Amino acid sequence: MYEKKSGIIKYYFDEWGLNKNIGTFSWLLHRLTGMILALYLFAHIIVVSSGLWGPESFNTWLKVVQTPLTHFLEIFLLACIALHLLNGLRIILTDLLFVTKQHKAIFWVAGAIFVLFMIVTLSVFLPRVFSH
Amino acid sequence: MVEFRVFRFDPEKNKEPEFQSYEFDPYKGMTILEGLYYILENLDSSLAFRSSCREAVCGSCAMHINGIYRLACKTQIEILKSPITIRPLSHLPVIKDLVVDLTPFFNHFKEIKPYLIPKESPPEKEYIQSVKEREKINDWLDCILCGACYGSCPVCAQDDKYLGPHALLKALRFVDDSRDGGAKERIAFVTQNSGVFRCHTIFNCREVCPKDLDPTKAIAKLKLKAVFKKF
Ligand code: SF4
Ligand code: FES
Repeated sequence: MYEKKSGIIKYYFDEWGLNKNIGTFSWLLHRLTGMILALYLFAHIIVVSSGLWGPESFNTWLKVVQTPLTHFLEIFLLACIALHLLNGLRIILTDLLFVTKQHKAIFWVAGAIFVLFMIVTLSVFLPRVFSH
Repeated sequence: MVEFRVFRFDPEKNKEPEFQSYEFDPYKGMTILEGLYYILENLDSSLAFRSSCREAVCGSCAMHINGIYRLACKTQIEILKSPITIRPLSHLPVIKDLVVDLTPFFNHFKEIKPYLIPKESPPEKEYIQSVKEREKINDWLDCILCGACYGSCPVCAQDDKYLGPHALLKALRFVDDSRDGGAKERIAFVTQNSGVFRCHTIFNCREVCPKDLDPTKAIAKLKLKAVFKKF
């Protein structure tokens, strides 16, 4: 008998290759943004906890992260948060109201909200990136 | 002319599977299953696949055809673009070519006790079920156990203890049945670690189901019933 054995990365590619649809796409996006947010949390805690060593240390750390690159990454971070949050709401809606039939429509509504959110985000954060 | 690219694996010959191409002239209305039979009879008698009813009732012929899990007997060649790539169901060991070992799939099905459990005080003659009560389970009845949902579910790939969309759908069918007395036990069973809460709401099962059933919805209903203890 033959059993496909694939590592964790290949597993995601395989599943996407065999099920190219909205559901798989949003699940992969949810995973990816979830992992990015978890990693960000560590970075966030490290920077903020520098306050434990007094205001000077906090200020130095804050200066380190106030660069064009980090401002740019902030836009990326907000995009991740929005995607993760909107998809989470979509799943909660499914679980509470059983709107499985409309799941594709809800996906596109969430997509539209995401685009609006990103327009606002970019208009606020892009000037910051270039203000340095 | 149509080209079939078929997944081939012979445990006696190959270590890794490979794809083999076959070309032939389909007639109007020819289904994928008939195409496979044509290959078997005229081009390559070593090809293995399962089928029985050839009319979407028995659930033997589910496979991955051009990007979607579907029944070979319910899919016409005409509607697909050549070359047509055919693979066996995923997440189950391949015995030969398109034939998979469905043991894990059926084991999960048996685990949910797919039969009526008598109530504590059964009626003297028979259980009476009103039309209304019967309508409650209408949406969960028609599963033909083809395995398409199991193959399409990424959770089934990672967790072989996960009950799977087919078993959970069936569980709801019995929980909602007015003649069944095992609702409490059933809900307790499907809320185990590898039960309903393992579902990631990916919707693949409802997308592929050849009977247009909605296991995703069934799982959502079971979740809510479990949380609010309403059954
Ligand atoms: S729920 Fe649908 S896809 Fe799954 S086994 Fe039953 S008929 Fe097949
Ligand atoms: S042969 Fe019975 S479902 Fe296709």
